[in-house]
Amino acid sequence: MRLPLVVAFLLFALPAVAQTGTAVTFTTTATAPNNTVVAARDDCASTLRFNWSRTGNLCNGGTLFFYVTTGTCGSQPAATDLQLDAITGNTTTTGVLNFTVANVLAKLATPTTCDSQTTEVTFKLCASTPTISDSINLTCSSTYSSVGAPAYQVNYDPEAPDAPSVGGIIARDSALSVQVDGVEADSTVIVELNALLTAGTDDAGTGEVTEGPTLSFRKASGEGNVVADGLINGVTYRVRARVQDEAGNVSDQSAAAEGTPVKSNGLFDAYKNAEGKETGGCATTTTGGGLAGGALLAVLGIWLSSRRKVS
Amino acid sequence: MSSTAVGLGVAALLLAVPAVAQEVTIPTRSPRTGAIIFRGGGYKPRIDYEKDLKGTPYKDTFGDASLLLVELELQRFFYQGIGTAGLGLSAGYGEKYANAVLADGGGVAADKAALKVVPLQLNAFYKFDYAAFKWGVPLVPYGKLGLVYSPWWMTKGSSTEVVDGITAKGGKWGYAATLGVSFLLDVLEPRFARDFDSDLGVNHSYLFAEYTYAEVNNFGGDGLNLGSRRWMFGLALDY
Repeated sequence: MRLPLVVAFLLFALPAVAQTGTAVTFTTTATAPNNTVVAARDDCASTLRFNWSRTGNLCNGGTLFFYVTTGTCGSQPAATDLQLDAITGNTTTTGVLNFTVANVLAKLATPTTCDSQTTEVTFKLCASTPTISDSINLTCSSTYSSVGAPAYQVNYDPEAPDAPSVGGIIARDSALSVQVDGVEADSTVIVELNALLTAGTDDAGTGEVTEGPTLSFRKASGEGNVVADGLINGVTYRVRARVQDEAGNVSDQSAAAEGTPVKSNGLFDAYKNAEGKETGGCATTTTGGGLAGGALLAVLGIWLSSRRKVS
Repeated sequence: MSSTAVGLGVAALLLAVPAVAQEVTIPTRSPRTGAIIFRGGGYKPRIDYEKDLKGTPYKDTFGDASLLLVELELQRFFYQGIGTAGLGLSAGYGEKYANAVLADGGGVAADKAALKVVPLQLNAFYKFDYAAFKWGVPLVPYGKLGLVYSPWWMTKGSSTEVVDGITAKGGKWGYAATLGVSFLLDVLEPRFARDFDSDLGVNHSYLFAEYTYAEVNNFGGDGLNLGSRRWMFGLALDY
């Protein structure tokens, strides 16, 4: 008779024990797809800010450690980890953690700096506390466990992507369509154009060629050619390309290529060249009349389709 | 006498049973209130026929090719007697692409030139389906007369063309007259047609061909002529 009572007691008690366990929730306003904050070399000294909130109680005399590590979470912070905070007692349930990538690099086993760290490195944001060995008395055990979620990580990517190449330029009307090769996925293609201007003409009939202001056009990789529009037909443009990776690192410029937009005629050009009298618009003397007519047709259609069936 | 009466009664009952059963199983037609029509065909606007136009811009750009026009029309029947009459509203979309031409006449440009139209039409129609339903003649001639409004725009590359400050887009009013003939598909599979009605409420289905005479140039005004003479083909479903 006692055994069922004991089993029932244990079953009811388990959730209660679980509730006393510590859990930390991290949040951040930084852009973090898949809980990963990507930092470029330019962001190395920028402050990364994470908020935390805690539920459940710590074990008696236990400490909740917040730290950043290149290893794994779930232990006391090591000497090579950047400790951010240490909380004892159950009164503090929220807080803010601030650090920079430079802080983390300085704590590595082989410390580096923003400039000397030339390879990609990933580190994790951790919250660890001793596990509870006795759920009645909340006695701390000697082992730690990771209690932070979600598992945020920071990816420091100081490497600039390789310079791309301009694979081809298609001359269009007031535009150039630029094919850029050698672009890695999840990056942005940047095409920069400079009009070639002839400053003057010397005795030999040649002038000094200078570059005009830089025009910049961007497009995500994998979305086809970059179309640089708003250009002047007949003017030659010097075209160079760069790639910006996901972290924000920008490659060197590609070798320059040149292209010249050319005027072309579509149907309306041909029509106007043939002295067509069309002036566009909605084809009524009163403003919006065409729209009103179209709306009238639409309303009639709705009315026709909404009439109930006659039985 | 009484046994005779009982015998007659039983006989009457037995004769009545098939009649009752027949009455129950005879499929009943659902009410017929309108139609939905899908059609497509070549649409060649009469741009080159504009009065005083000095050239053939449509032909120079697209050759003799037509736009592929697809349309959806909804009809409501307001008269069902000797034939069927009502109002219909249709909307369509047509487009045609071709390479633009280099302005210096040097050949084909990389840009694509396009004409796009969205013909809208409100029409009154009459179809002589009396013979089809009464005598089983599967051909249904019909006619329509409608008011047309056709938004249009022309593109070059990825943007709407602008020439001399005029943006190549607008709308044109006009009218259209259509004559056509439908073939009643029910005669091919009567049982399937009945199931189509009982399951989905589609009373009749037709394949049709029609010829349209359309004048869409703001009733003779200046500018683009989007009128056409065209054949269209499609499927019509009475519901």
